[in-house]
Amino acid sequence: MSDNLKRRSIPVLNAVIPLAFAFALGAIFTMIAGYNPLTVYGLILKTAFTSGGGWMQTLGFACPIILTGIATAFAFQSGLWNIGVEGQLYFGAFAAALVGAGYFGLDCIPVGLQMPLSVLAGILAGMLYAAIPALLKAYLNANVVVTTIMLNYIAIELTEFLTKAFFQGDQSYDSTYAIQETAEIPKIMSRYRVSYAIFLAVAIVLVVWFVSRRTSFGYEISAIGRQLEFSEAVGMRVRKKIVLIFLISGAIAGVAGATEVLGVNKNFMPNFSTNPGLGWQGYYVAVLAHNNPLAVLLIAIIFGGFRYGSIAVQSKLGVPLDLLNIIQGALILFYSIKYFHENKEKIQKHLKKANPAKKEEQQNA
Amino acid sequence: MSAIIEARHLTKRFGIFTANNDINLSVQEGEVRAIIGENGAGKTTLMNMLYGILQPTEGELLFKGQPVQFHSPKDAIEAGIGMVHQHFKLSPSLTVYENIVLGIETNKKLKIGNKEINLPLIDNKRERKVVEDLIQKYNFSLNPDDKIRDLSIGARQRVEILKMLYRQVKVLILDEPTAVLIPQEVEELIAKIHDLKRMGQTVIIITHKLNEVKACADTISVMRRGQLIDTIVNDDAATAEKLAEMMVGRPVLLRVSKSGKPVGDKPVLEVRHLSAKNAEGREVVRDVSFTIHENEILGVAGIEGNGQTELMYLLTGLMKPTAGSVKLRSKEILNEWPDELRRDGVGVVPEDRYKQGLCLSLPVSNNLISGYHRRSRFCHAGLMDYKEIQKNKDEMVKLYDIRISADDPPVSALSGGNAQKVIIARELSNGPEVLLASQPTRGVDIGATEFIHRSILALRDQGKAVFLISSELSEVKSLADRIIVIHDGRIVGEFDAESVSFNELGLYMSGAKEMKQLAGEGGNA
Repeated sequence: MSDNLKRRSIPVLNAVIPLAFAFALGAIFTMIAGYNPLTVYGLILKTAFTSGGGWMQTLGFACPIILTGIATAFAFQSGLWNIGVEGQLYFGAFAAALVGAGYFGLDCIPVGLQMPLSVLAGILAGMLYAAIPALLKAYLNANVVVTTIMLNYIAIELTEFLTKAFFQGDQSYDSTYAIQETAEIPKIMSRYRVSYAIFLAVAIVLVVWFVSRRTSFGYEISAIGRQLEFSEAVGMRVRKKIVLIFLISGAIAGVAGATEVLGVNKNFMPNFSTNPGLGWQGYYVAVLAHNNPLAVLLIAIIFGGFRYGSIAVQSKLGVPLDLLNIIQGALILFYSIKYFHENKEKIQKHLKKANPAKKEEQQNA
Repeated sequence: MSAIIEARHLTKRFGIFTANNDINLSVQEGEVRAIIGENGAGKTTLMNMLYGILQPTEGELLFKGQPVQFHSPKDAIEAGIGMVHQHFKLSPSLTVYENIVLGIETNKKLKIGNKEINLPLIDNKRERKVVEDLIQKYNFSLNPDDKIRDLSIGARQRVEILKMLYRQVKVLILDEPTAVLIPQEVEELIAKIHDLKRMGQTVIIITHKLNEVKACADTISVMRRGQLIDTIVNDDAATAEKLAEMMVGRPVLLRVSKSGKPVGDKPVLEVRHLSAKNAEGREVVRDVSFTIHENEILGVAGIEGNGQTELMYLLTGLMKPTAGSVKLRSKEILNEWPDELRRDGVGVVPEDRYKQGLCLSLPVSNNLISGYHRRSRFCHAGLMDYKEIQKNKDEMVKLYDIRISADDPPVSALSGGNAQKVIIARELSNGPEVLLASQPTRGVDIGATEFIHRSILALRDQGKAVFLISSELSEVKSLADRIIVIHDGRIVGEFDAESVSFNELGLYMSGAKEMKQLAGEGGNA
């Protein structure tokens, strides 16, 4: 019984320890900058999580991170390291902004359809952009990490170029025209950041969760993510699945970009996804959540809260927002260390197996 | 005679796992000692300790009565213990003599008066001469100037042995030396071992092949689950059956009992003129044709690397052919995907069970359905029925005697034999018309091997066809009704399994003989 308790507590400890370390490191930097870390952390928590209004803001900041987090986690659980959510988000946002603002004569779209079609445009753009690394991976076995990271830079610069060269709205701003009011995703309460997109985000999380757990596609994803060669050998048509998984991940990233434009920003501004970008935050979230959809939801909300809290701290105390970036970076760093092993026996078993397994391998070589 | 190597209370632990437990071993000078045991019994761990690759956790090692500690193989070789591994460590582009002296080359010397100065140049002439003398002394048929890449496997093994003899080892350890050899080479090796013994060499041979042990050993040590069970003299009382029983811990049926049901005349799988090139563009399967009938097991004999792997890939939808056709009950299935093949009734036991047959980190229940997971029993309208999947697992575990420690552990927690039973259970329970099995019992313990053999024979007796590739020639011969021999991607011979001899098969496997007219086209003639 106590053994069981021990085993259960290990993953929790493995999550809590890096958290403590990250905040300790953040505290050191806060002190160096001349602030009391307790005051700073206290204020962040208080603003973000103790009032109704705080929660509304927190969810507003969390919404795109939930989406980028789930987009990343969905690809990651299939063993496809799609680090390109940031880029896919940029194209999603860009396309949604253009359709929403009625470029290309698209202002003829009837009122009720403007918002959904803008979101759809974002989805398609995200998918198309994800199709590039997907096809490169499936047919040329190109390293996904490399291609997706590089495509991020291309997306960021290309959308900036396109905006400034062809779609610049009001000349005093480097951004597209604002979207039509009828294309906006309405806010739940006008004072707060959160729009109805949050329901879409939660729904997507639940769908991904359901698909992963219960469907035959989910079964195949888990096999592909664990052992590609096996999945191919038992007939899972891995290439097709790789492309499909990438497209879905890109589509969700596209939704993240589109809802951010339609619900919050109202136009496409180059580099709108500020450092570290929403895609990168999604990446952190997915890693910390072990790609578990429900954990993604929870951690993304915490991340959103800290984002909002940090902004409040910056305006009230003058603590730079970069502090949050330090904590987030440190969190991932400390997280990558396994402090406790989940099951000592498991390791022993692996050792025990190491010998025959090696032999087997050599025989086949 | 005195003990040349002695191990006292030797124990090796990896964490909490004990690979070798309190081993007491004493090898006499000048004897041939066989160490036998199943896979995972701890034979290799023990040898690795004698050879300095591993260091014992407890106990001590004595060489010629003196306690020794080997920190690396180099120490062991210097003391006089040499080991030839199952997989050779030779440089293919260098010559025989260069490989033999590799690491301890002879330098050219400059004589000034009485003094000799080593020059940083290799004295090839002298090296070659020394090696040539060595080859003559031990009567090894080798040419010192041949490049390793041009040599047969048997000849490469002789080079490995010479490499150790050149280093003047007193004890020669051979790790599974016959695993890669054809029957003729095995005979040659056994003769060589006798020669070495006559010349005073001590030889330790690790193996699980009992008839070879019988043919060359003076004494036999049996290992089981990390312990040295017993050491016996190799006399008439030490029968293969007795040795097998000692290895496994219970009586074992060494001979497969066939039902005697005659081979049917309806063809099930017809392969015609199948050819394929590998990624480098080399033709690895060349114009292969054969037919398997109802109630028939067709065995494929051949030295590994002669196209068996690729042939299996072609038949299981993992490789594209350049030409040919494959018909399953007159339906063309050559370019079908693996999932379509399974739907059509092709069961697959892949060569590499841990890469292609099983998903190690998924639980047993999930592995028992993969490839068949979209069948209506497990999946309704895209939704998995995990209750049914658990039920299926319980059934299979019972029916196929899969031994699992927990309720539904990941496959990685299973032994080799039980992991293979998961594949066998999955493929046989889904009613295949033909079973394509490659190396079905490699690395599998004797008990599970027995079970797998029985399952394959039972499938045959149900009127199904079985295609069996195995590097264990005795397995092919005892299971199959008909044997085809593959050499360099081509079928070079076809035999009735009952009447053909191992020697005859060996001649074809090595490429020394070839049939002009093959019966394969028409069936089993």
